[in-house]
Amino acid sequence: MSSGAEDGLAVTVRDKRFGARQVIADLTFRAAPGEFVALVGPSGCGKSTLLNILAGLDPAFEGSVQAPPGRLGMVFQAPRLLPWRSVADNLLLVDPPGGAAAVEDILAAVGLAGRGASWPNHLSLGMQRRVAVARAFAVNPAVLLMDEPFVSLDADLAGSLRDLLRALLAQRPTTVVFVTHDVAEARDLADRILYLAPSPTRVEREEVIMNRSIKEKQAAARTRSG
Amino acid sequence: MSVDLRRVGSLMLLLMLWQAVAITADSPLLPDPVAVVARMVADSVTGELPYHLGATLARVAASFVLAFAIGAAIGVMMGRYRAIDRVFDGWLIFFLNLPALVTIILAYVWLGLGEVAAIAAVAINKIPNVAATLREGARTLDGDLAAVAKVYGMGRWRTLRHVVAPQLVPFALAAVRTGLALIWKIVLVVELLGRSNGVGFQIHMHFQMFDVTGLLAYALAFILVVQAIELFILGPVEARLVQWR
Ligand SMILES: Nc1ncnc2c1ncn2[C@@H]1O[C@H](COP(=O)(O)OP(=O)(O)OP(=O)(O)O)[C@@H](O)[C@H]1O
Ligand SMILES: [Mg+2]
Repeated sequence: MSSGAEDGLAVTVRDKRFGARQVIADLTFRAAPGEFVALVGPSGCGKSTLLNILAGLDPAFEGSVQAPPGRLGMVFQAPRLLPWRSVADNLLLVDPPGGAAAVEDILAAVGLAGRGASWPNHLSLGMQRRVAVARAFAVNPAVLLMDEPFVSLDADLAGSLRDLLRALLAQRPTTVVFVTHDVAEARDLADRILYLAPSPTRVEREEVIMNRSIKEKQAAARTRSG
Repeated sequence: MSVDLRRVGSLMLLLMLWQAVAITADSPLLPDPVAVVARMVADSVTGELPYHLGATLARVAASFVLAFAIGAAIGVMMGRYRAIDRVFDGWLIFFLNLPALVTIILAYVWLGLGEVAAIAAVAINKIPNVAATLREGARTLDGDLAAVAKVYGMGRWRTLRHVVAPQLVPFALAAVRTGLALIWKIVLVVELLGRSNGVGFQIHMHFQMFDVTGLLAYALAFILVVQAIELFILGPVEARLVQWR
């Protein structure tokens, strides 16, 4: 993970304010290509603000963002589906590489097989969240930003979506920035966890989790021996 | 599109009242409904009524399309851009309060007694209305959904069509409804003042000859057409556009 960081994601936010209030100060981090970084921090500390900056949605800050080439997938804190388009159309409108067939597959993968024709507001909040996750996966993103994507889902479902995320990441190298409140979830998924401290937000502590590829090799070794 | 029995009942009551008053008055100045309907049919057979109704409809359609396109563009721009809103807000208030009659007379004076003046006069009366309504819609556009469009690189046209336009639909429908009601009435005045065909012109002619039956026949035909458009075009279009709710 040490080489090629210049191709990954590099963020520096020297100063981000809303009005007179400084929200983020001198926050810097990098994510190597294919690295999974989790952001953990108290509510209101500026995690969503940071993701918006990463996504290029908020140019009003002092600093810089460097992102690798390729598409961006983003799961916002709220599902943000177009209520006047069907579930399938919501996915098709982001131009997924695989077209309609890929949309059906990804909907099945998030447990929504056959719900493509539904209106989003006829789905439960948990189902809408899964559509938003499917939308982000569908574009085969080079960078995936996720803002507490599995919150308010029951444990089984959250677990299966985590498995789906892992499977997806195994297929193609994706740099992930994943916001969560759940440290266990962060440890389960991430290569590295950044703990953020509030007012103004900065990186308080960094925790390097055992590299995913090592974890996978060990898991494979266990299955062989067991 | 279920038939509302109460509405039918109240219309029947109105007809009966009309009939009763007509019988009591027994005057050529108040014909009974049967005479009016008979006249409507007779004038339809000669082709006279359809001709004038058609002329009016064409003017309504032309000025409506014009007013809607221009008014929507102005309104959306004003709703999106503060600077434009500040500059033109005063204009909007001025034109919203300008009496229709003044616009019509000025259009005829400045542009001559022609079709261009007629349609321009109606459109100018309606544009501020459409603009004000759509400005409201443009002000309330959802920034969160715009962010989704941007993140996923939806592009200008797709964003406009699938993200922005659907949010403006309720406002556009409101503008269409109030707009048509307004335009119908103004077109008649425009025709009365300076055209030689159309329902407004015919009503004027019948007024000069004290032909109340003819006058009411045209008014009734006009109301029926407006209601038919409401029922068979606007209603279904609206139902389709908001089916996701
Ligand atoms: N558009 C805005 N205008 C003004 N203040 C804002 C705006 N967006 C966020 N803030 C403020 O910035 C701070 C950080 O907000 P942000 O949404 O990034 O927090 P968060 O870490 O994502 O919180 P949560 O975990 O609850 O989602 C908050 O104090 C919030 O009030
Ligand atoms: Mg947040």
